[in-house]
Amino acid sequence: MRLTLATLLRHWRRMPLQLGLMIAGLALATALWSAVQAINGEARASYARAVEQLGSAQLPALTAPDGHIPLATYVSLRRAGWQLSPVLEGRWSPGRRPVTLMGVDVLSHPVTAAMAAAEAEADPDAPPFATVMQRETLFAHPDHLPDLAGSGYRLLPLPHLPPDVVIGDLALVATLLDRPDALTRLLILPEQPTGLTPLAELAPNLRVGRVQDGVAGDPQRLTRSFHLNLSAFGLLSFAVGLFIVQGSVTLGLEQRRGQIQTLRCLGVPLSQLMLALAIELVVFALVAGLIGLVIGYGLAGLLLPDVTATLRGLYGAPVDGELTLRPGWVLSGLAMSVGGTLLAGTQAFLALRRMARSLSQAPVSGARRGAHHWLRLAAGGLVLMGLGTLIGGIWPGLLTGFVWLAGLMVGAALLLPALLHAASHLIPTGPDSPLRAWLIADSRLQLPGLSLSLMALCLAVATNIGVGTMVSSFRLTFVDWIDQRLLADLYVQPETETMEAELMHWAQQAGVRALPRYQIDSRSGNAPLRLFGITDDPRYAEEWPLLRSQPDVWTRLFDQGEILINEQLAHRQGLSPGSVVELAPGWSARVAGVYADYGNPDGQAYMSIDAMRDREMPMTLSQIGLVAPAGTSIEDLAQELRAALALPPGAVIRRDAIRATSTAIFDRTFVVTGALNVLTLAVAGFAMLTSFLSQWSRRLPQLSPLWAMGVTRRQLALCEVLRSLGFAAGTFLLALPLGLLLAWILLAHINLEAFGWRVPMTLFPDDWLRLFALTLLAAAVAALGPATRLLRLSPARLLGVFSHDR
Amino acid sequence: MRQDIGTRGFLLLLRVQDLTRRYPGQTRAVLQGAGFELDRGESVALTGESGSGKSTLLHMLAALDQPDAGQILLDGADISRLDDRSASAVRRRRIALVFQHFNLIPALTVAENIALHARLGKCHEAEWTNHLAERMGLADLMRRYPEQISGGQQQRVAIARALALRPDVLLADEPTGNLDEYASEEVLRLMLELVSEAGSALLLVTHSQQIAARCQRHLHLSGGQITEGACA
Amino acid sequence: MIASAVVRTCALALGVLVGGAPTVVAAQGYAGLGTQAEGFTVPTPGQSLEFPADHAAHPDYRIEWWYLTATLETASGAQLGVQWTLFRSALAPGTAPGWNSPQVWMGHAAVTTQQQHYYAERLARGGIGQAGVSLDPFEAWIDDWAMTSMDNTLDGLSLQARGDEFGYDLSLRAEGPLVLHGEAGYSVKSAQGQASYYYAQPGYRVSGTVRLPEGDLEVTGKAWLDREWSSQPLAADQSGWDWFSLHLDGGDKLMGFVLRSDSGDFSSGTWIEADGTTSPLAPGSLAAEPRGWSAVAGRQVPTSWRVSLPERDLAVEVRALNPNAWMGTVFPYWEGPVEVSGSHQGRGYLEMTGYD
Repeated sequence: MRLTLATLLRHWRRMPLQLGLMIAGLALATALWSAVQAINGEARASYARAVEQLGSAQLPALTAPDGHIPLATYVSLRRAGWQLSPVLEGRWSPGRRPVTLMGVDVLSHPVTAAMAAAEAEADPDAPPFATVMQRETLFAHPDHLPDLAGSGYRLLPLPHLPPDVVIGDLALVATLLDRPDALTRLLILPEQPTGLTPLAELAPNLRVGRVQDGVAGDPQRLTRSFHLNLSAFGLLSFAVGLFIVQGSVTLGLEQRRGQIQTLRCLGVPLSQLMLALAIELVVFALVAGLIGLVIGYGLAGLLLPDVTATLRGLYGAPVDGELTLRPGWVLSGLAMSVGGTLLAGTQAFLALRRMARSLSQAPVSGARRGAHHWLRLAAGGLVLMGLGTLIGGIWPGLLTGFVWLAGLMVGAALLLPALLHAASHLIPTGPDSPLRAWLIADSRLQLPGLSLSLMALCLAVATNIGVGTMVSSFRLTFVDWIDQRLLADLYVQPETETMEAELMHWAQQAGVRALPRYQIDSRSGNAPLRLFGITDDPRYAEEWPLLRSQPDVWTRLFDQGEILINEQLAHRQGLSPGSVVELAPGWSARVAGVYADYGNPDGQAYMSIDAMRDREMPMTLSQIGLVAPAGTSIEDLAQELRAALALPPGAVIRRDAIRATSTAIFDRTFVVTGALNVLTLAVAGFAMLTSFLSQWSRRLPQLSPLWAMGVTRRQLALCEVLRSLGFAAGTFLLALPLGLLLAWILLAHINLEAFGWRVPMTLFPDDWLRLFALTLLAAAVAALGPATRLLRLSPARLLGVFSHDR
Repeated sequence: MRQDIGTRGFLLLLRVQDLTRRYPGQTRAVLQGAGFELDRGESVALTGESGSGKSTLLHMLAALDQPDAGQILLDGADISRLDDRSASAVRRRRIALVFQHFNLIPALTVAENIALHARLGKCHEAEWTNHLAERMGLADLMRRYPEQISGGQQQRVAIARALALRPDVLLADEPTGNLDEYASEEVLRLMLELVSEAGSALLLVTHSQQIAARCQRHLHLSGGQITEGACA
Repeated sequence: MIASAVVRTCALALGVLVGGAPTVVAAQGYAGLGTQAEGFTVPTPGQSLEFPADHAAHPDYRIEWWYLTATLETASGAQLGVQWTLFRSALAPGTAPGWNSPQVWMGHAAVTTQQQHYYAERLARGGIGQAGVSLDPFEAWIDDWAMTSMDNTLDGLSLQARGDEFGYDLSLRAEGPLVLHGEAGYSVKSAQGQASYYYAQPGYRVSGTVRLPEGDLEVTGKAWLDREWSSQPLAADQSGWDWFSLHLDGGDKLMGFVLRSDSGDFSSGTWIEADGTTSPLAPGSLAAEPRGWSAVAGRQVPTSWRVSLPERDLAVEVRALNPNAWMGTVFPYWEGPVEVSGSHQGRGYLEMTGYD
């Protein structure tokens, strides 16, 4: 056995480049996969820590359809023996920025342990909960404490709280939110007494579920789509890497055909050969896997800050910026590497069995595969695409959306060789262009050897186009949306009511139109709902395009008490213009229009300030927008305003400043996507290079006769490059519609499922051109190796073909 | 040496003078001042022992390899020191080669293979090509690919392809070395007939005296020198 | 009485309520009970107790409890004990509606058999109705645990509690009068003057059902109810205590305790005759010394005692029915039924704190 293995392995000593390429390919694939896994793992661990600190996400909870559970219901359930922990949640604006205020009963809520620890740290001598319960203390993420400094309450840091969530004892929170008799949810504690009356009997109107989607809720829900995207990227890279391995392993076996047949003749059983091959593969996989893990760890370290920025920026999810090495991650990386290699080696095993069984048979030429072979593959591809579409179309959802994507991608990859084969017949070849005719015929012949790496390229390009289109569409929509939503020229956030009055007065004096916006935080359909009240101004009608609306929508809004809702709310509750929506218990309104609202998981509604005032609910002034009279310099106006009201420079914000900041945040959040795009393309280019190089030894006999017929080596080299470019171009042509389809599914389906809003898809032909150029560049670089080798090839080598027996 | 100087200017196709070729690391040169001449339309056999330098000579004649010294004059022009581009042009238009192995382009059909060289040399004549295929008994195989036909058939395709160019000279290096006796005889017969039909000269490298005897002239390579006639 | 007061206060200082192991600062006594009573009403002598009003809560005092222990027996003669306790602790004096109430309630319930000890704990905020004590009729409750009377007296009670492994439902009928400890219910706790209001009903007949994992048990026996409220019952250097309540054969009852402190142990108690006549014990006349220790919950606890009271010719062996009667509650302590043998026979309850 050892002899067999040693003999087999000896081969690689003669083929160090091939060995290196295979290991590098696998290592790269493992690296990308494990980097993504490390990032995901880190994010999940952070969420888990946060959830652990919050202590509630693992517990089922009771909620009411209207979002309000009367305190009396809680008490009666308690008196029936049910061990529950009450939570009250709402929006609260202690300073410039509203936060989610979460009130818990410190006697029963799981987060209490963390609060006690914070108390003990702040003041070791104080009896911890006396102060909390005596209405003095609020807890928030350390970064968030400065924002709350003006609130007048004792503040303690609780590091793993999500940003924008402030926790306090129910007594304080109920007072701050002015909801003394209501609760948002009741956590069902793990230990319950025996013989309880079922909840369905005691409180039939309450629903049991996991912790509901409060703003403070589960960050995993919001970020699931993002992580699925990352995972999909990682898996794709890994698949691309496996194409490399598959090619190398099969080639390595083909090259050792003689050796293997000799070993067979010497009486080595097939099983031993198989085992030797398996050991060889596992050893390579482990080596490559380890290298890949090291690279992956480094890569994750490089990317993590950006991912953290994305998650914090886009979803407000808490992620630590530090990477820890998890044993599970190492094991899973190695397992992926070994498993993937064995999977990629399946064909090699089959080939080995065939080889070993038919000693006498001449080398099976896999080169000429008839059109029927490609058609069979293509048929499989079409079936996959159809199945994926069927699943994605019939069951809308996040996961089925990804199944749909996978079906399309793999199916299209299988379709690729057939399409390239067919396309090769479309290129006109006259008798005057024998070289072109040869090039095309030869390319067809090379297709089997290259098809896998071309599939990899196709997937990489499609992913690039898909994700690129998604991000760019998203960005464009986002910027448009910011422009639309920033109706006024200047924004001021008044700190006090007097200031509000002064500001309005000043605006009137200065001939400046003021657009105040008031806000109420409510709940609808068991989810948070933010209500905005605005005053009538022509600017709204002029500059705020709506997604869907009734005729005379602005008249309906300002004069008839109807409202505008955001797309999220419309999607979640199936609302459209004309429907009636409940804004708070006992308060419903008719929808006049739907507007786009991005990057926000919650429902919103706009109404006239008069309609809002009628309700006598506590409302806060969230901002005042100022519209400068025509011809006035906005900067001058801002100066004037600051001077008149003695405002600090930061209190008056210009529209373009907000726009620039938002766009910058947005761009930063998608850095990772860009980096992964480039890496995937690089891996695909690498796969092509491997294919070319591994075909090299087979190429010479095919090229030598041409050379002997007077085709120069330069021409042959050029042909190599041209063929690579041709394949890349053909692959790109298929990948383009595939990528657009991918983008469409991402934007119209997956995004809708994940966030509740649909992003209109925009096409970016400039990006395609750039990507096309990049693809060609990758193909050219991949072909450059063989081409240079060809150029430098000595005539003797070419002649050698004719004189030596193979 | 031939004496008929008067007709030399017209008939002489190829003059090889003082050709020397030494392989690096080898003390003795393979060719040592070898020389001979070849007329248009003439068929000449070149024999010699294994390793005597037959193939080396052939490769230099086809401008595939360069001598260390000496000249190869094709219609008076020295082709022994051309750059790749010019050497390729010579091969494309004037010289055709047939080897023992690997003559065909696997990607192309028999018909495409036959037409290839002529097309590259931009002198393709469909009628002539068809005639060659007909004569070589390949008419029914035109749409097949090289691996789908027998070795003897492959070699006929290679010869047809070479002759489709109507080259000035056809250099054949053991073209039937891989075939059995019967097939070899048949291929050789057809080749000689068609070479003369094409008006090409033929330099046929062989180790078989029997085959050599079928050519008009017989050169023998030994000790780096070429001598006329069959030397035992 | 002092001991009982001290013991029962244990869990109520919310200062160390949550967050795992409470750090007991020795200078504040067990569970912070030796802390100052800012703003709270302090018991004063000469103030007579008013019933039924004093059966209800006294929110201006820091701590208060309704504390019942029962020694029971099944039809087959197996012995067991039951505990039911409602504690009230105020973070600030007085009441306020809803969540703003400074009152916090805690319930402990336990069943102790010879083999097993089951217990459960409940916490509740005052002001929202989850726990409290009301009159007309009398009811003390936390969640679904309740001690209920048909009227405003404590003469007839029904008692329920359940945990995830046990439960009980008992009927209690008093066989004697309420007993006022100290001076008409004013009970001095230390030489420094700490005091509480303290009365008891030590003589209940009990019958009912105890539910255990192995099935329901019909039980009968005796029970003892303590009522006490105060604002600072413990001296600052007192770190733990051993408290005994014994039903002796013939109807006499003994309540006695040893208060352990750095400056020397202090013992006291009350002798209650069968007709309800009480005699306070002279300080130091009761002696209790550990005779046997058991490893319980990772520590050594004395579960066998020699108790002697020479003035009553009492020299008995007090032995835990189940040495594992550990209350692993927020403030952990040992509380379980005991058997009395020696000069007197009988049964009772033992409570021990401060064995860390």
